[in-house]
Amino acid sequence: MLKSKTVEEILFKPQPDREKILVIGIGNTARQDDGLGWKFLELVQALGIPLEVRQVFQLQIEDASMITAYDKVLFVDSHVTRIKGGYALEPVFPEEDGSWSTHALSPGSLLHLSGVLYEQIPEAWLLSITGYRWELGMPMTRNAKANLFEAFECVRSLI
Amino acid sequence: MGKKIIIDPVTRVEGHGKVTVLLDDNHRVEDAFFHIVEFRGFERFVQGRPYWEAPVLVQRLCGICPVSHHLAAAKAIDQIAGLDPDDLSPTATKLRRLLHFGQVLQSHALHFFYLASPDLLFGLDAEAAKRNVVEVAIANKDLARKGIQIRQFGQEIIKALAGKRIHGIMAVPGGVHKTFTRQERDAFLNGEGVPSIDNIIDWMVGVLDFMKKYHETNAPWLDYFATYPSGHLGMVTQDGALELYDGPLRAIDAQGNQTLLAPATDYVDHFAELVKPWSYLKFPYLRELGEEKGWNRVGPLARINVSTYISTPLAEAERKIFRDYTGGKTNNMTMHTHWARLIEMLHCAEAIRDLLNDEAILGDDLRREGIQRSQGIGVIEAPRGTLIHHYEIDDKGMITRCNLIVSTTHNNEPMNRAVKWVAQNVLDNRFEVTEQMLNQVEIAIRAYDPCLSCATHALGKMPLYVEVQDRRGNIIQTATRS
Repeated sequence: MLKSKTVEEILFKPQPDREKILVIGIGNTARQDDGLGWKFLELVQALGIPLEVRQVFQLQIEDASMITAYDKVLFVDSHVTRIKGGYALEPVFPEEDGSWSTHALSPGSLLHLSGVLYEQIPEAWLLSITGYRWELGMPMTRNAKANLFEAFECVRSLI
Repeated sequence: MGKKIIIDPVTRVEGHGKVTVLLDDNHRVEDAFFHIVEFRGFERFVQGRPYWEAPVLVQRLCGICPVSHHLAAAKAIDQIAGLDPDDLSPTATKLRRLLHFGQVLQSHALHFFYLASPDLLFGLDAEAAKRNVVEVAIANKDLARKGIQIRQFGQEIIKALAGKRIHGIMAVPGGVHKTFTRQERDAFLNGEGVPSIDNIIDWMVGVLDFMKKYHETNAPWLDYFATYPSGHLGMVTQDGALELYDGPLRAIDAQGNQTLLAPATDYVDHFAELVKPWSYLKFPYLRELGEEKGWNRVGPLARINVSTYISTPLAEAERKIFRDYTGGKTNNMTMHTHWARLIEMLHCAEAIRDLLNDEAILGDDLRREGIQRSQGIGVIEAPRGTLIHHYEIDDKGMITRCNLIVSTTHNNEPMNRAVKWVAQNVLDNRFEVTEQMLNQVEIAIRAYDPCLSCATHALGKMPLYVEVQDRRGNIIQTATRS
């Protein structure tokens, strides 16, 4: 995980008049803790934080075009592994991935595709938040919600 | 010693499947199977739910073609609400058609540009590392960019009508809940935030030119690969034109003789489903012909085969070229499914343009009511083929029975035939099965754009695991591809 200062300097010291920043929430609120990414966006909007948001089930190839309209992109997704502290904020770099399928385009693959197709790659970060259960139609777990709030407060403190 | 080759799972299809090839002691192919090995049971899931929830619930079958399930269920629920298709207002029907054309356009774009194009651009023997859309983008950036924009256009049509690109809601019992605003309509006509519809049509004409030129230089393998005789099934208009939303079902045999022409709602009288112990996916067939001869392909190739014309001029011109290639005979060439898919995309784009210019889509007569019935059957041509939703309810309006026959189920036997073709023509009498050979099995399956998530109602992410066994189950060769 990066130190907060580095994150602040690179990502969350936005200059709104000159920079466009997009937050992409990945997941599905119908599948319990898989909805963490979308819930993060709800918090951004509810608190009036001046960032553009977009919710997606999965990252798709056409999103390679969409992200080129932004200077910086923050991907927010739930994570199946138990991350120390409940979340992690890390930079994303272009990554060539031959195993692509429509169900699993990673943020790194998306950046790589943006570079190949449009010769533009925004600075990007991935906020991974630990989730615990993934059942259809069930509510989010208490521990996942706690991780969400911790992760959100971390990001908010950097804005 | 006989042995068994297993491809598990198959990649670049939606869902999870497995292929087994049985070889005898002399390395000759004995048989081949395409298994569906996951099951989620959506038909049971909706039982006990109010009938008006069905069009929303069934969208969760799939993240790729939720609109098709939404509309097929909506057509069935219309009937339970006491309304046949002609009873809906012209505005509601045209808005639903617009949504459907947007869906077929974006789904076909996803398949052709993202999933199938590596097979076409790089051929049968390409290295695994090359078979992905990034390599397509490197090889043909213009094609990849247009593919993305055409898919985005279809998705934006869906978003404008249903509120979201995936799992939005537009149809309600007896109609739709929202009309199109003039501003929304003009954005698609004038290209505000998306390419204009005229641009999409021009690009599709260009992509078809690309396909025809590609075919000129690659005809030997495109015409030959996984080609076999079969029946074909699809929806047509009353006078025989290609139809995707509502009309009778027509089937023909491999020689073009008509084997079925019946109202889609009579499907129970004409179709039976065979269960085989090695797959969760059933095998539908025409009762009149029996299980051996009654199976049919569905999807773009079948639809072009069973229709006598296309109602939009540019797509009709392309259909004639396509038809002339076989001298007007039924086309049984599996790889030509991709060509047929592009013709349908052009038709969808033209139909979208015509609907956008139709003032009826701006109307406010959105929903009508009727007298409740006890069952409803909705049939639609989804991108992958004929899709059937059938619901029965009790006197409280709760669903008591649900039967879904999805496109990939119709294509179950055809995909098995395609796998057998590759097994007999590529794997037969080979002592070493290479990765390129296994890829050819997948190419044959992929031409059908199977959605195994829909067919068995499960989601999956798919590395490739290959296992060779002798008849006693001893593993004698394995290979893994991530």
